[in-house]
Amino acid sequence: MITEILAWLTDPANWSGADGILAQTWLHLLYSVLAVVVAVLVAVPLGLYIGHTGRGSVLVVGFGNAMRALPTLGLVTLLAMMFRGSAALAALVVLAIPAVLSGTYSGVRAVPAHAVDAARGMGMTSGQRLWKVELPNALPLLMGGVRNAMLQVMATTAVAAYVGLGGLGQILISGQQTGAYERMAGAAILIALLAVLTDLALAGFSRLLVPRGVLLAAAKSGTRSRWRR
Amino acid sequence: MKRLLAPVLVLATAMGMLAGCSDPTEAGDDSGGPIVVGSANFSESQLLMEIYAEALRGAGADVETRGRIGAREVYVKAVRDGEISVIPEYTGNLLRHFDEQAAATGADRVDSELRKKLPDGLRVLERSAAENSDVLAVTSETADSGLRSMADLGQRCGELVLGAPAEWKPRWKQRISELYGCTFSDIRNLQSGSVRVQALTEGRIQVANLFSTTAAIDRENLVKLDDPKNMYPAQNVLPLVHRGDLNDEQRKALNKVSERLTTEELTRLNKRMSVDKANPRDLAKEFVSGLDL
Amino acid sequence: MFEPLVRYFSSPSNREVLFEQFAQHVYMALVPLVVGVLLALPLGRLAQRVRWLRAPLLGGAGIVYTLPSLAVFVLLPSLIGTGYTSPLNVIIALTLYTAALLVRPVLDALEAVPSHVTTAAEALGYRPRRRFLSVELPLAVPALTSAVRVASVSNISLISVGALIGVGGLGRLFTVGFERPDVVQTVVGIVATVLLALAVDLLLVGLWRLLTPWERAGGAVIGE
Repeated sequence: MITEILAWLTDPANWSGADGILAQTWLHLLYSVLAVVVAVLVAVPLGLYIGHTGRGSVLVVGFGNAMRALPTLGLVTLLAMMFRGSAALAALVVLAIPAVLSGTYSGVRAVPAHAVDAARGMGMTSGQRLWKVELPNALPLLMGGVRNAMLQVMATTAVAAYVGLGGLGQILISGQQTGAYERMAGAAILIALLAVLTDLALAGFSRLLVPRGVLLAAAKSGTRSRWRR
Repeated sequence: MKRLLAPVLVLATAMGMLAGCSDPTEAGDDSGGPIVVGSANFSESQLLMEIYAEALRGAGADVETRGRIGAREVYVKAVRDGEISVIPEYTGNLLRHFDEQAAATGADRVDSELRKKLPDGLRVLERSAAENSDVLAVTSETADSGLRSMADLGQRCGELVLGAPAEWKPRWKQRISELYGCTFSDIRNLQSGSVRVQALTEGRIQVANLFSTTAAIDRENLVKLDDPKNMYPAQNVLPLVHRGDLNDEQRKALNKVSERLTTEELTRLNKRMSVDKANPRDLAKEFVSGLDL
Repeated sequence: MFEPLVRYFSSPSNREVLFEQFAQHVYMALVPLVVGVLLALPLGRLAQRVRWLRAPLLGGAGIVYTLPSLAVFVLLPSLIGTGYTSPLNVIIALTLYTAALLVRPVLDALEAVPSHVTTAAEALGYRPRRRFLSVELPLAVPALTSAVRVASVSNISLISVGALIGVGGLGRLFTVGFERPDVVQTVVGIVATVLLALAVDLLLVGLWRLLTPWERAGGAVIGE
């Protein structure tokens, strides 16, 4: 079995063409990154606002819990049926939002009160405090949220291939429906690899992004809160 | 505290009972156990499974259904191994499964070839008149532009994108160019029928390979292209059976089903499923009660 | 709006199918949760006691957690020889996810037990195993509960993905619903999944209250 999977993975014919591995990997990555970027644009400002003002925090918790319970396959097929195949992209965004939102929100809430007080004492305005103190200090948890969102979206993109969105999941699903296990398993390996590599890349990126002092403080408290796939 | 405890305990016991009861996903396959009827991964197969199951119950059998087993490679093996006793099949595709080179296309030829090629341990019962073959479909606008038959494809193919399941390309790409001089500008792998219909109506593809009984063909006003040179083989519905699992009376019941099942009836039932959202099990009961077994 | 729902539930076969798939969903959700917790406890303990194992254990859990479920469902058969469409693939995958998700919280919860408590237990003559089971573990329950709740909710929603490889459960309503196409059936499946998640969540909260009677017996026994 393993040899057949390897043979499938190493056959150049499987890599080229519109339905080939390269094209589908690219599509998979494109959808996932796009969804997370949109989710960040929506959820980070919202999370900063809620965290900064404390208004609507019940919403974050309640919304987050409810979203976790939503079955991704159900959401994806429902949207595709009600609108069109590409509407499944909206599901990716919707599923990415809670992780980013709760990461941002808890990041801001976790900023030590004495730091905010000190900033206030220095005469910073509310906006300055948010921008110069709360946001940088919130970054470790915020980026943790983004990484969780990316995991979630990577996995959901694989599932969304079922409604014809394309991506590596399509190779897997067509393998399933034709009983070609080596194709399914090969695609599964690629999906897993892509998810792990993307997570590593994001981990590296957040290391660049997070100010060094904050990073050191965060390392002590081990802060990446867990979400799900 | 006590008020909370009671419902929690009740729930916990209920869950415990659910978890403790025998695994609901395992099908019994001991000899002397129930007859297991299976189905492939699509709605029509599931419907036919329910019909066979209901007919067998009418013949006094203890029946269990196991739907959506997967691809042909998987379930034919399961029938051979006796894990499954009966599954609905299609003559042309089943023949092709046992003989890659099979060239027969007419219903009688396909049927007799199939009986010759069946391996030991498997048998097929009588075939029905009901057919569900592959068909190429286009939107009515495309059809109005002068594309009504596969014979019209020749000059147009270069500008058309076909949506088909992954297995289409290796099997038909060469053949369609030999018979109809058609080479599509691109062939997109779209595995599920509803995805192909959606892609067609959204204009992402211009031609879709569908099953002829698909209710969406009517619903979306699609036009089936004629196949004057009989590229696609006949696909009559019939039961594939693990040899020795059914007695005379049970076989008779399934033959009675085949005798009554026509393409019109199958299309009508498919439509009841996809338009009226009827449950296949209810449809099967209705159909079989009209058979006077 | 309710008319299609009434029609859906008026078919005895629809109710039958819904119940069958619901029961299977419950089964596939609870087994991994229980086994996953039982697996995470010794692993977390190991990570706490054996320093050099900590990094590989947490790292391994992190990688398992990163793998998309669909990929794991598909790869398990070739790794451990289960049948391709066996529900065991889903059950084992979710067990791994649950354990991976819980190792860290178990470790953190055990670390958070104040040293004066363990010392006191030792002074009372508790042997390590008994101390773990009757002192440290109960004190870790509150911290663990929130992690178990996350695992349970995400398991319940993930099981549906199994329908793509032919495993039953409420996900079947989504694949069948999409094919037909039947929005009502899909909505019923989504609502049933969410309700199940909610019910199990309430059950876990109840269980937590049952296991930590001191939390309500007039304030916490041990300070922060």
